Amino acid sequence: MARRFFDPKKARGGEPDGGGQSDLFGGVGGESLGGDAAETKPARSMEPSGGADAAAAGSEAGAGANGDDPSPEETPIERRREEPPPLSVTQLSELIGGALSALPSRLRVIGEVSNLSHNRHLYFSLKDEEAVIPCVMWASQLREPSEMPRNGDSIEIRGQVGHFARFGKTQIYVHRITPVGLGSLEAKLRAMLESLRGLGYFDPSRKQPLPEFPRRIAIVTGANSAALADCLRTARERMPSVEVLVVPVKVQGVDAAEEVARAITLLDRAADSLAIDAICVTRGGGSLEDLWAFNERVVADAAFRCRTPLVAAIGHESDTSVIELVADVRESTPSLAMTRLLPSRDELSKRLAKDARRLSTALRTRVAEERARLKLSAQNEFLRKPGERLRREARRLADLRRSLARSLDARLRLARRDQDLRAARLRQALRDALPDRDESASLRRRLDRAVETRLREVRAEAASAGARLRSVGPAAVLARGFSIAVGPDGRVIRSASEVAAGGSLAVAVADGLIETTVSDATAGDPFEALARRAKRPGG
Amino acid sequence: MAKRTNTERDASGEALPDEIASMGYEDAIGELEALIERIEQGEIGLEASIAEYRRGVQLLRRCEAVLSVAEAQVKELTLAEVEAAGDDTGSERER
Repeated sequence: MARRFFDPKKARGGEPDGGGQSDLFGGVGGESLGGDAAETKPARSMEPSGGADAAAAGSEAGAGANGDDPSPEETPIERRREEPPPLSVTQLSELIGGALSALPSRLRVIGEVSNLSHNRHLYFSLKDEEAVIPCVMWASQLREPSEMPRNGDSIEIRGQVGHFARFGKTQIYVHRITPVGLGSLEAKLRAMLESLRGLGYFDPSRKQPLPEFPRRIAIVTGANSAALADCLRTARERMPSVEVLVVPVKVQGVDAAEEVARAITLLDRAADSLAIDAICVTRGGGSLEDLWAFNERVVADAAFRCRTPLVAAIGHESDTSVIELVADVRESTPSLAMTRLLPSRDELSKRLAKDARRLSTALRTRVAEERARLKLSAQNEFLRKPGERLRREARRLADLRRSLARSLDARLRLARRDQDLRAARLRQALRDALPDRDESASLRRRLDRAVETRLREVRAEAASAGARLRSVGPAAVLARGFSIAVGPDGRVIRSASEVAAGGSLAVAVADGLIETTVSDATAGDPFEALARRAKRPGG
Repeated sequence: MAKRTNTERDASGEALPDEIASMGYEDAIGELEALIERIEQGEIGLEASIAEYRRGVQLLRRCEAVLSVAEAQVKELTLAEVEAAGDDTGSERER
């Protein structure tokens, strides 16, 4: 009867599910898991805490079992009665393993991460308020860096429960980890976008223009990926002359972000020596987890520092990745990135054809213009009768020469006259400015003479006036023989009637005074009287 | 490269001057369009226009040659090779 339980074949082979399942349960059966010593080592190192948790959980589970069982002591008694053979530890382990195989093979469990340890493989405990269960995720299963949980994260795991006999440990072998709810990835992306925006990583002012006609571009994408094929096809269609450098990188998985960042940084550094005009980082569509590498800070930093024009097209239109926002230009698909980066040869050819037409039209127009001008000139008189025109020109020239000579002569004469006039004026001015010495001396002499003459005249006038004055005075009258008779009263006798015979008179003559007595006084003309008197004898 | 050399000759077999044959598309079409503008505006004399026209034709041929390259040249580089190119500052090419 016991054989039924111990049969390892039954324990493994009883599981109807796939080979992976058998391997896991092979491990439970005490066989080496893939024979890799490194896989078991970390398990041992985590044993103290994990073991304690498991023990705690075990005791609680035991308590629960006791509570459920109304008569816990009856079973041993009954078994004692039946006397079953004792089991070896290995047999018990196999028994447990077999019992666990009855659980659903693909479990989904939600819990919080604790005791996380990552040393190639991932070991942690999944817990909630009441229970805890150890978990292991083999490195081969861990594909996405986005899957990497942190202590405290709420996650959902997919996996199987198994019993690791060597450590007596019942644990979940995890195939896949996903963040729970709006949780992790989206929140993480939002937080990243927020912080990078704050740092100016998305600043439109630092976007560089793409080259108009790139000669050589670099494409960073997955090796042999559909994205690369799309890029090359579009490049061939649009601009076959453009040279393409393909730098294959991991675009998904643990090291993808580092590789992408490194490719950008190295290409930018080698942009001159590789003669690349732009870099395109691209990847086809996928889940947020698949595209996560392009949201990592290391990629954002590389894109931010990149001085070569950078185009990023990650996933589909609806996906927004950090690198797309940091890049100079964002496109939604690999082909659109190429379309944006490369001018279309057809368009360029059309433009070139247009330019070719313009060029020949421009020259034809120019020649036509020139011809029209020539025609206009041909209608000109000069061209029709060149001799007449030349003669007229010659005459005109001669006339001009003559009139020129004339005007020159006239001008010279005028100038000369002007000059003479000016010289005369100058001389006069000089004379005026500097008076002649001789002339001034003669003037002075003339002035002196005039003054002298006038003085003499004045003196002579004065003398004659004095003489005349003197001649009319009494002395002058007396001197000329006249006399003045004065009565006894002293008055001058002016009439014969003023005296009577016998009266005394004083007669003043020039040299004295004669006292006399009047013998007669007759009125009449004195000069006749005098004449008569002179004729009397003795008289 | 051999392909490109062929396209640098026109039907008459006249080779483009080196200076034009080595021009990038952007420079060539830029100069071409400026030159057309000058002829159109009548800014230059007839003889100069004819000389410009000749150069314009050569520039056109250069642009056509660039566009007529048949196959994109694709080269794959590993990260290590890119790194080596970046280290190799001595062989820096003229862009």
